[in-house]
Amino acid sequence: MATDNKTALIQLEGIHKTYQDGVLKVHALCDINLSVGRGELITIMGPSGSGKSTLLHILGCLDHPTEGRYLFDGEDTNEYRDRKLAETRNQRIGFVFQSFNLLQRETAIENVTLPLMYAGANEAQSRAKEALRKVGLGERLNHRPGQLSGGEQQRVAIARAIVKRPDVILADEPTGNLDTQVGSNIKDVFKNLHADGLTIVLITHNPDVAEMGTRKLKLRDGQLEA
Amino acid sequence: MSSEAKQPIRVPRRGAIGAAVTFARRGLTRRPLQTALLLFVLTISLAGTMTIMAVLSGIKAQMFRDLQRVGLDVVNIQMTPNMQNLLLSPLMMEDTKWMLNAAEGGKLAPFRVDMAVGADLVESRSGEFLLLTTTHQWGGIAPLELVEGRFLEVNEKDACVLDEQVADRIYPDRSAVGENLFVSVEGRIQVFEIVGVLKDPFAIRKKFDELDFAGAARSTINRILEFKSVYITGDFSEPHESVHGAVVKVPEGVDARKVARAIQKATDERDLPTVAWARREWVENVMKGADLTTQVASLLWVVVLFVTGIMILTISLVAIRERYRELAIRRTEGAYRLQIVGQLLLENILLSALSGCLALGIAQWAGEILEARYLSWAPTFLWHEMTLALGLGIGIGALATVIPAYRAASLDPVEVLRQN
Repeated sequence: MATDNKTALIQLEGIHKTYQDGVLKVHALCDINLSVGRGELITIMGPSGSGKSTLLHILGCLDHPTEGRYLFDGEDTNEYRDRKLAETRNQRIGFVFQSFNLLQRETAIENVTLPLMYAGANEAQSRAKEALRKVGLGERLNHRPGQLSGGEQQRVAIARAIVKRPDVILADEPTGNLDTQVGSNIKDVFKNLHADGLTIVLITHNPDVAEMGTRKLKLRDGQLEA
Repeated sequence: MSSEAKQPIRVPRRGAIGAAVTFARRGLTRRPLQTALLLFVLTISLAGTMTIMAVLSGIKAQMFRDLQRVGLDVVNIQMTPNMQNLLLSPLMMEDTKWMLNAAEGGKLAPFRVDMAVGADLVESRSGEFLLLTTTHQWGGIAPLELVEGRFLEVNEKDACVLDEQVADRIYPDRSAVGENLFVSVEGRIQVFEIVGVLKDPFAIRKKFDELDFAGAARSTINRILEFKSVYITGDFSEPHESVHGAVVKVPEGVDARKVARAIQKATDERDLPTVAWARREWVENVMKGADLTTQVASLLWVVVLFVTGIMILTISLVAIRERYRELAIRRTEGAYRLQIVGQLLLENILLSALSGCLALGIAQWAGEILEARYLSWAPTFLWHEMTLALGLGIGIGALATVIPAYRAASLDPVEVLRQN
């Protein structure tokens, strides 16, 4: 489970996450220690409620741990304020969600340019077109999500994640809403991205998808197992 | 890929502003129903506010134009109107000399007033009026407007000029000029040829009585001019001849208020029961009253804008709540709170600016209809008032947006995406 600390892109040290549900305390994550090196493709499997999404949200700077340290590229994210967290999400982390999370009123290319526009990046249009071509949607640039199939929507979400040239892609059940064939295609897309050198942390229920990981981890009752 | 990721994406300010404008524009155009609703509410409210402002400014502008017609450089000197003064007439022609001196030159017209009854024997119509005996100078002092004919000439005897109201009463069906008017004053009958009809010079006074807080000057002019007037020429050659007052036109560059105070001081020293007042002062008092009245009336547009604010707040709350998922996605993709709030604010500002332009057009159209059908004055659109209305519209829109926008931007995006 460990990678050389000096080269680790992601380093979790004794991470705990506790939610308060009325009078009950729910321990979503317990003492998670994990290092992810650059270029790794890590898959995390686990049953529902095991804390997979919670872990991914912490990794994605969308949530803070209750306890422990999360070092991203050597920096303690606990010290990040809203703006720095947003900048990290915007420029260094790409997200792919099970439910795609696309803006329904925007076209495919507009969805993909979204993070670049927040960054004020130059050549947003050409980079977005390139990203969409890379995931095989070069001909569907001006379609809205409602006009695309589930697989195509997920490809748009992947294009949006890679367009910013992130350090890591975090994928939460990317094939969960897709049929087997389409899911297999999406799996190939991730394989290709990994072959290009991208670091990927992928959470899945699907053992077939989990198989492609260079490291395969399991999460059970908030605890990580090798 | 890794080495590319190391290159930081620099944020050029112009690019960030351009992106904010693009997001705001898309936010408006991709939600036509919500945009149309907000546009409608804002436009109607701003148009209402602008129309009210223009109507209030219009009446003030019209009042000032009307009031200027009484002659701002004129001083009125009149006996305090009571029976004793009218009977004894302690003011004399020789007093007009020092009055004119106090006025540093200029023109003076003395006058006497009598109650009279006049009749047109042809049509057997009669009426009561004030017989105002003066000199031809009167015509050169107050800026009189003639409906027809002319004013009295030097030492012209047996001629008279009628006030429009008197002419309308005694000669309702025909021109009064050239007719003979039979006048009874204290039992004596005199016949005057009518040489002119004056446009009612005191219609203004009636119009604005309720706005005049000038006190003594007001009551004096009201009492003396209660009746409509017929002007005739008098013989004021004797120094001891009694007069009831005079009007003085001060020379150019001389302050009429200063002259009025000087004359008042002199009459007090001479123990004369007269009051002297500058018409400019009276006009200013009326305008002050008008200002106060329009300020109170301005509460109307304050209420309109307040209600607008509440409506926009309600619409914004609902509209932004419907966009929680979209905003959470934006947060996930790297928008920070301020950018979310900024986008929603910018949307509202663009909408308010567009509403302002539309409202200005609608307000002008409404003003024209009001003027044509209901008002006796033209609504006046002052640029600073229109800017104020637009600024308030934008400000209220922004205020009504900033609270729900900040609330939306502060929500946990994970939680929002999970629930939606």
